[in-house]
Amino acid sequence: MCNKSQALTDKLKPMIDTIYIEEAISQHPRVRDILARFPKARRISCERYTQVFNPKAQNFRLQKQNPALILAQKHQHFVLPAPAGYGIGSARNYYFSHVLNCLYDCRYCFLQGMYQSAHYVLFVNYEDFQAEIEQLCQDSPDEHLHFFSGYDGDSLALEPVSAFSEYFLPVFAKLPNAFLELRTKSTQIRRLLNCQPLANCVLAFSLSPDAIARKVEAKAPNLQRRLDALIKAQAHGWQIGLRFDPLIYQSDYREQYQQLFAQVFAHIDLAQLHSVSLGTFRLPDAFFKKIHKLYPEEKLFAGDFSSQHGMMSYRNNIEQDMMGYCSEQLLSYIPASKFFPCRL
Amino acid sequence: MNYKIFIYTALPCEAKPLVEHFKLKKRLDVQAFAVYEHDTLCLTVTGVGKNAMAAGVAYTQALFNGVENPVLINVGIAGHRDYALGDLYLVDKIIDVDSHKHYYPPLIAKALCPSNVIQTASKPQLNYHHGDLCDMEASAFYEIATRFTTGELVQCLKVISDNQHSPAHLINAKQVSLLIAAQLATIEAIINQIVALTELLLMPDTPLFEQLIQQYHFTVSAKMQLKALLARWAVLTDNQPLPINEAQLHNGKEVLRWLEQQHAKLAVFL
Repeated sequence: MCNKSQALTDKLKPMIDTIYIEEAISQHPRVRDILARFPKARRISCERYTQVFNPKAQNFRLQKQNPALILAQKHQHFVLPAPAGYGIGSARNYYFSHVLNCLYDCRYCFLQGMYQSAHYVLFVNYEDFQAEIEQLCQDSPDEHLHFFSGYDGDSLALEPVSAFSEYFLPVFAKLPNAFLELRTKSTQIRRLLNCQPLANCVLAFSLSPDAIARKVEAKAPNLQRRLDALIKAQAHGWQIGLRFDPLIYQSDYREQYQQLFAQVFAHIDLAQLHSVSLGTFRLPDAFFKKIHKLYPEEKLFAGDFSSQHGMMSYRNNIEQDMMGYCSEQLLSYIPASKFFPCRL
Repeated sequence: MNYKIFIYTALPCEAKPLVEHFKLKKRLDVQAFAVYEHDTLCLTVTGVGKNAMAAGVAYTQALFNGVENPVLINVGIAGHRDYALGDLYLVDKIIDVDSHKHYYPPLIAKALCPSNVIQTASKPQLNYHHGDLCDMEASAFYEIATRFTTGELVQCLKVISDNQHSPAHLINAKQVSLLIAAQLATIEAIINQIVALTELLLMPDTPLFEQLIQQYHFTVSAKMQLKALLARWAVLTDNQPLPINEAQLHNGKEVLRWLEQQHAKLAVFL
């Protein structure tokens, strides 16, 4: 392991003091490598990760105080169709999740409502994900397939442990009809800076106004650090994506987002800007209810919401105002061809 | 009654040092199990084995129901092939030898003692042939306790009472009490850590709610609406008092309408 990688892992050491390991993969090379990086962590074997991750009597908020790492093997459904509205230009969109849950603690995140546990699950059998991605591409050689890796967790935040991009970038380099989105709030881009940029990959940063991020994006790098990473990646030749999703309402949201867009586009090279997406805060009703119960004191959930078609979001007038205003602002910086608003 | 912490032991000799340390008094009106209490702490001696433990946990929780987010701790002795007598272990995995079920108590707090797997069996395990702790209650304790609270607040603490060099037939009640007593400081510190977690589970106070439902008639759904509006006001205003004037509000509907109007005037800042 190189010194830089060791330094990055060292940052995570205080954050991971318990590692659950599925018995069947205890000798997997990736597992052995990860365990070697955390020699002091408590190790607990389990038959299946679901025994630890799925029991009902767990509290996501409490576990988020000190999540464990679960090393597991995925057996099926390696690649799944992306939900409607998740695309950035392709008709066929898929996501794959080598990791469940995230290092960061964003209050709006749907993972808090979806999972019982806040532990990080890392599926180490990357080769099986690769095989299914390759198969899909081979089955449709004349179509462009988009793959999203940051759906059930940040694509790069666990990079020092997962070495995800190190493995998957060369995979996608050989798949001309595939396109990969790495979606992140992380600054873990060293591996990307050490290799040639891929024409079929976009590094997409989720961004929020600094004042809002400070309130609802705990543990994530601040806006300036994300912008610094974005600028470095762009300078190295990577295509950049901007994800203003979720838009978060507060009374001065216009000023907040106007400033954010001005700050971001002062640094963006439009030639390397792949796409910009936009969507207001929304959650499935059941997730919203569960997360609100976990964080009853949270101002984010005390806003003016209504439920439509099973999805909780800001009331229509607020949602339309925000989408309208932010779309107009963004289109003053970028062409419509690069803009992908997500409407409910 | 405002118990928060429930300790369960199988044996009276396991309970004795805890009863003395926490100055617990026996409840004379409770017959089914020996139950001790003081302040926010309640201890039940359940008897040996899974059935006794399950019954003791369920009985005590039913007796003192209505406690929000109780902390449930099993303190007891366990055997191990090699570990030194008197060492304290937090249980990180429970294997029920009879049912083959596995349980994983979530470990959130900083480690104050080492942790280990425990095997729970209906009969004493006396051959010391594996590297796990052995007892006769932990699986039943955890399974039943997690019906009453979240797993992070349910933990098992085991003091080594026997090993292959000092087997179980040499254990006596006085020695067990001494072994547990020697670990009281760590046991108390671990309990305090777990209790501290419950702070994160507190619901915002809505003191006006009780007053208003006494004063006005609300249907069941209107009560829920009232509670939500009061909670929302408290969250958005950082608990500013509501400028309510009861003289101008004649019924529950008017109260709700007035509250909605107040909300509409609020600026929203995270």
